[in-house]
Amino acid sequence: MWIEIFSYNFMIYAFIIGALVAVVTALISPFIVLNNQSMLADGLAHTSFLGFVIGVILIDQPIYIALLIAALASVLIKLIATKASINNDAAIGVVSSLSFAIGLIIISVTSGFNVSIESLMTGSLLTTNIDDIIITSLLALVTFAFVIFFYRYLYQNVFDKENIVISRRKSIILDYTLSMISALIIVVGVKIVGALLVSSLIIFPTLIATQFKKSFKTTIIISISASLASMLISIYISYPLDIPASSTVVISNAVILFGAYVYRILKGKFQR
Amino acid sequence: MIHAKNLTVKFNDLTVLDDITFDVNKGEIVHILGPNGSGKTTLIKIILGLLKPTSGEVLIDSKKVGYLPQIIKVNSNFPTTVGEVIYSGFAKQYLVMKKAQIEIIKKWLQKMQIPDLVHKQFSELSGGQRQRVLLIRALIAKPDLLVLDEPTSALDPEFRKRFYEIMYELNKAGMTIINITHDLDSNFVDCSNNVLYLDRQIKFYGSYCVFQTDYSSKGHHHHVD
Repeated sequence: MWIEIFSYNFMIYAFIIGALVAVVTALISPFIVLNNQSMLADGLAHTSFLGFVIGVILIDQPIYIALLIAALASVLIKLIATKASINNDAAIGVVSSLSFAIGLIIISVTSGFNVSIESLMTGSLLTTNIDDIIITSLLALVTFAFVIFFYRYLYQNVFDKENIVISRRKSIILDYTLSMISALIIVVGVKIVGALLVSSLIIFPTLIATQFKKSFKTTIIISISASLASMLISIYISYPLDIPASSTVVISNAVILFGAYVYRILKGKFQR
Repeated sequence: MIHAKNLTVKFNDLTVLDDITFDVNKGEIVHILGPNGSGKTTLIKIILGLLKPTSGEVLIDSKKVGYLPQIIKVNSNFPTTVGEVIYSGFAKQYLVMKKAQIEIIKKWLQKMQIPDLVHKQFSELSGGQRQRVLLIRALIAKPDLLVLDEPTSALDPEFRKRFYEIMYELNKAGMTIINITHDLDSNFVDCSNNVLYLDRQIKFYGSYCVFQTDYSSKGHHHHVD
């Protein structure tokens, strides 16, 4: 039973897409969490819920509509936060609750809405198809290129924003690009672990990695490794145990975080 | 170097800077003094481009500005090394640090009397050490204008002397220096330095020595806590 998992095509797909999503969410994780924007992931997840709902009504592949709507929402959140001088968290709250409400109304007035709301909420890792894998791979490629190319800018943007302005390297376009890429990543994440749990894929990796107190670069590497490990382990054990993979990921992330925390405390004790 | 004309800053009904006009020439050292709430930090923010004045304008003729912030608001859990922090000051930054750049960082750490800190966590440094690291970051791209916000506040007395030595050395090489401070240390400041005493308006602007004899004797004490 523990080996025959690999003889199913849908399980292979699940491992591939799970790995891609785990890596890519962990890669952008430090730039969001250390920038005090953890709520952004949650907000965008709600927005992509609306995207999926509209997508299901309009076309066969709702993910395309979801990608579009989440990208628009990410720009909208940034705009509200900067122009209307509302603070960021509040801007996220406004956009996300509004889109969630609209999504629920659409579902209630559309007869024969044939996708279970539960799968939007908690994901459907085992029903991914080759299209999902292609989209996620492309997204992973773009994200890696973006982070590698603008690494130093992104670092300064989380460490000391003022200094970017002073050194006249401030680029609003890069800010928007980061938040748009995050939005797209979250849409793919919603498909895998669902709208309710996707923010955990963004938040946990950085929380785990910061326990080790390393350089920023090493923190990103630890973040990716931890995320990948917890995803693969979770997919592997959830199927034979017949529990949802999405919830298992969250729990295994929490277990790793606890382990890392204990490690930090013990290390601090022995060094003294 | 800096040409400020009729600068006024209002936050709602509160006038923080009231019609300020002054010039700073290339190669000068200007200490900005004034009581709390006198608009010192606001003035610096305008010079640095972090804040727009309500009216008036500032022209700055500088290729590269270095800035030492007062207290950096870094999350105490932010994972980064001293080397990474300093590196973010370089004009040209690469994904992987160049050997020559690492050597420059090490040389500066030596100069600031904090060698061997390259790989240390920034969040684990003392206040004085942090300030020195941030000063290196401000200086590493060889700015022609250096803006310091309370640079000596967190420095230990022994390093204070070294700090002024480095400042004068840089100034001799042509760097213009603007220094906000509460405690102007007369041991290290001479008549070549200028003082701009600010209290929403410019109350004094001229040589330190004139300030000493003229202004302080009128009963205005410039040491404010």
